[in-house]
Amino acid sequence: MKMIGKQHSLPWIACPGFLFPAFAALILFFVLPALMTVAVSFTDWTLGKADFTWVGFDNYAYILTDPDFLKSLRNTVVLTVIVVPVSFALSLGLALAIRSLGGRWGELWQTIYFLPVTASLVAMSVVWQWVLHPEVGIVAWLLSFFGAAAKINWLNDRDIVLFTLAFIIIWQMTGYYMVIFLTGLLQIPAEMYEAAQIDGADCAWTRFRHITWPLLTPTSFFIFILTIIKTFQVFDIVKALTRGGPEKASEILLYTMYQEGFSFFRTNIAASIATLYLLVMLGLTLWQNYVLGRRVNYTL
Amino acid sequence: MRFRTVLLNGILALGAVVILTPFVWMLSLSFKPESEIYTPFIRLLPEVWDFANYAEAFSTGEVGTFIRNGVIVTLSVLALQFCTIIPAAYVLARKRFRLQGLCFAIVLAALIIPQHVVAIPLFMAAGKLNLLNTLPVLIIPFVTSALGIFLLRQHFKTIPQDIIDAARIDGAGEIYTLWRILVPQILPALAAFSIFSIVYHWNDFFWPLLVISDMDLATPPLGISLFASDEGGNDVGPMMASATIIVLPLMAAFLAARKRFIQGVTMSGMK
Repeated sequence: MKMIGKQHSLPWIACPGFLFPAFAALILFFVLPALMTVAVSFTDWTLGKADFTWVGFDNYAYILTDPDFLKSLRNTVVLTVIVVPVSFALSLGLALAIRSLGGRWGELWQTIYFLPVTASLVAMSVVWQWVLHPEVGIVAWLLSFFGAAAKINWLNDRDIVLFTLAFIIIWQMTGYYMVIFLTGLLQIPAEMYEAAQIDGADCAWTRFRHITWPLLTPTSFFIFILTIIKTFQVFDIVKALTRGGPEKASEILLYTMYQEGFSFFRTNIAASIATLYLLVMLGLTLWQNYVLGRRVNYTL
Repeated sequence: MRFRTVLLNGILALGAVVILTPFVWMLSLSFKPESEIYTPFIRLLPEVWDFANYAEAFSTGEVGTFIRNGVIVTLSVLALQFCTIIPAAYVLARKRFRLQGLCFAIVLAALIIPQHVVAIPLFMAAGKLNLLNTLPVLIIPFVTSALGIFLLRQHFKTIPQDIIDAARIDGAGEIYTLWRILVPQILPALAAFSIFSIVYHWNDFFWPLLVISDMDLATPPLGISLFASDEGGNDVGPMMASATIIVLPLMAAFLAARKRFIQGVTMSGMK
């Protein structure tokens, strides 16, 4: 018998041929590029330059005082502040309603509300552009039908554009969070409700407050963080619909990074924004893992 | 009780109208001739059904090319991911070795790193290697998936050791055991991962946007955005026809296998 229990009797590596393709790719396409991005953020390197010097935190000092970047950061936060509570409340409400209906009706509504999740957001952006068209869009027609005289330029008015984008994001993602909530609701044992019924909890609100909500806390927290992450990742509709305009009113973090890196070729600035973005993602994910422990994975 | 059901259905139906409006409008416009599009009077159904938009989507919009590229890219990515993640996940799940912790840490790190952060160095590397504006550049960075390894590892862990031992006693080699005995045990997980991967890469916009500028190499989302910002900007009918064609395959897959599809897509909640 070998001494399996002892660490030093284990080989350093097992089946290297099985591990190599995946780990070579993970290191080459994820770990190393991420480290390079962080490294570039501390240099003055821009695309095409032959050499570079280390500049410490200069790039960060630059972006954090740059009004355009701060505006973009602010827009991202505003978008998050609108999208997170609304999609959270809507998806929870939908999940509760669908769960209580159950059966064929429940399935029908679940299917319909999930439909936007499957659609390419870029393709649907093109469609939204014509749904929201100030002259010939269906929304303009509805408004005039209800007697509103003013033509609202949903995507071209800097006071409105962020709300319009928030609306489209919510339209697309609510079904996604809804099905995660439904999974969470299914895990609450039915006996809990039966027991509550016996104890005299007849009213739906009482049952929600004392059973559903407490038992749903892990799911709720998971979705809360997920909505923030997903909102920070918004890029497609901004690129496809507004290009950050008008007057940078809808410019968000990833779009600014894209512009700096791939339109202005200020690679060092783009790398600094990407690094900050990575820190935010890292912080949110670690927070989520810390609170939920090993349960993060339960949507699988 | 009866009243509550009616009320809930009523509220959900109102929301469903909002959800479905863009899809209905897309279909409606895709069948309308131009004269019916630029009118403030909204009609859901076209007065004259015009299928020319779909023909034009394929001729000027090249939507056929986008679909072809999308199919090539998503299926190549998926096939390569299978080849890399299945063996790696198996070894991580069933073998014991000293670098195991480090390997798992690499998987977790790659799981957290967003695509947008690695895009800058990968773009520069692609430029150096003269890979910009080629189909391989859309495939190579995605030959493996940390999420896939993570997921399959969990499923490989649940297989009873007896099955592996039995195969060993019968003289089966490592490769045979993995692909013929173990992989069939985790088909549901593979199916969920496949759906995740296909949806992700079919709809991915960011990476194609950076590395492809040639219309002939565009994947569906990039293609329609190039078409919309190009000549097609005011060709509403053909544009809506293109959008319909691009959105349709995944939607059909969803309607055909609802549970599996939802399971696959929500997996990305991890990302």
